Amino acid sequence: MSSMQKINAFFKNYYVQLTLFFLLALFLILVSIVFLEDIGANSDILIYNIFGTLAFSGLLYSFHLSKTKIRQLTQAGKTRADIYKDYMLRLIASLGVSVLLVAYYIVLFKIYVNEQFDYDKILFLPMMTLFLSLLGFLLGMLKMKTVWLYVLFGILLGGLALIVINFQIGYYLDLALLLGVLILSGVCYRLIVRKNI
Amino acid sequence: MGTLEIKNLKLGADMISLSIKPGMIVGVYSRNKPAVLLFLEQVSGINENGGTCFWDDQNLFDDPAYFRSRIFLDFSKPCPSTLRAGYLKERLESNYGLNFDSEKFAKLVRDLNIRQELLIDYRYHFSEMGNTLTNFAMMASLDKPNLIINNPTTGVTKNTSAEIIINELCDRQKYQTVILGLDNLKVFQNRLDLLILIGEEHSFVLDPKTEGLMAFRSNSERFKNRICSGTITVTLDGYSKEELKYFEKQQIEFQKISAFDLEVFR
Repeated sequence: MSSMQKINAFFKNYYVQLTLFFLLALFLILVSIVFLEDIGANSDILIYNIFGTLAFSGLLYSFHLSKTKIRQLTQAGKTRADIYKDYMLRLIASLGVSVLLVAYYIVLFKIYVNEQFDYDKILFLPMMTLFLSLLGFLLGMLKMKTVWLYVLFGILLGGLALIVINFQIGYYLDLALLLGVLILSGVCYRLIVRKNI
Repeated sequence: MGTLEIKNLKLGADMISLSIKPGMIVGVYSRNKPAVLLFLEQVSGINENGGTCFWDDQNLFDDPAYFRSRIFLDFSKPCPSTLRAGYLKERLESNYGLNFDSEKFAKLVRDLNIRQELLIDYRYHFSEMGNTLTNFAMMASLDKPNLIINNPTTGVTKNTSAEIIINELCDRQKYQTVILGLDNLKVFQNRLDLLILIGEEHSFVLDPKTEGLMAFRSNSERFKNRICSGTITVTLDGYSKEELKYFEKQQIEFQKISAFDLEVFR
């Protein structure tokens, strides 16, 4: 393998990309808090943007994996059990990164803004990321038409923006999302071990 | 080396049982293409088989040991979108964990003249034959000992190319077991150890070297083991002298045919 191929392979590695995304997010959060607060603007919007990107790319990635890629992977020799295990590990890694981002945001917020902020709202974002990823996986397993996924994508994006902007996100909504995540992960596991692909 | 056992697998209207030992090449043929695909998905372990298919006495559905040793490809499905062997090797290794011999792939691309079968603009456009040949070249460059291939010669019109594909797939030194969903029966004449026929009425497993079929230009209740019926009825060849005399008396035209001639009597 030439050195160029090694560099390409390195940057295509999922965990390398995740680390780079994480570092970029740290930088963006710092910039958002320091500069947006300086001009009196709301710095929350950037963190919503980061989580929104993570959540909706998770939805699309999961849908593509369970709708088409799972077939190619099993044909090539990967078992369903391995595919689901890898998927859950990646999901947990993504969630771990998002939780670290939240912690970093909290620390910076305290240091630079020195105000109390809404913890329920912050918990809501990683929960929603997990929920949307698993929903994408479920819809892919059920072979939902891609065009309908994009319609749903638009509805979810609009709905989420409305909720975040207009409504108070309470503790119970976070609990409901956690319950939804647990149910969806069980349903997805059941489907991947049983359903024809 | 493993043995693939199929016990009472429902195929069409019947249950079939067979044992595929190392070195065996098995063909599956039906006019009903989805039935062939369903069978291949079950014996490849991709979909549930209801506890009827075993690899070394283990149910092969999602079995890691079996999955490591086999590959399932449908040559009629879109092939890799490139002929760049190095790039393909990197993709197959990183995405699928497959060992790929890029030199062999490049040689097959040259020998099969695959570049004559494609147009390149911002991406590769393969002809139907080019698609099959590229899928074949990729498969032959992998190191899996057990093959499950659907439509192995689809769209291949050049005899020399078809011959290269057939010789490779029927290489008993290189592959342990080969299961083929046949799109063309005739080209595999004298190459198969077992032939599974999924008929409209019945399904059978036969040894094509010793067992043949009967084609009747009629339809009668006396015909047994029917594969398909119509203007021409095809059945297994297993009639007694008395039964054949009866058909002659009834002026029913019949002919013994090879299993590989089934397509001719459609």
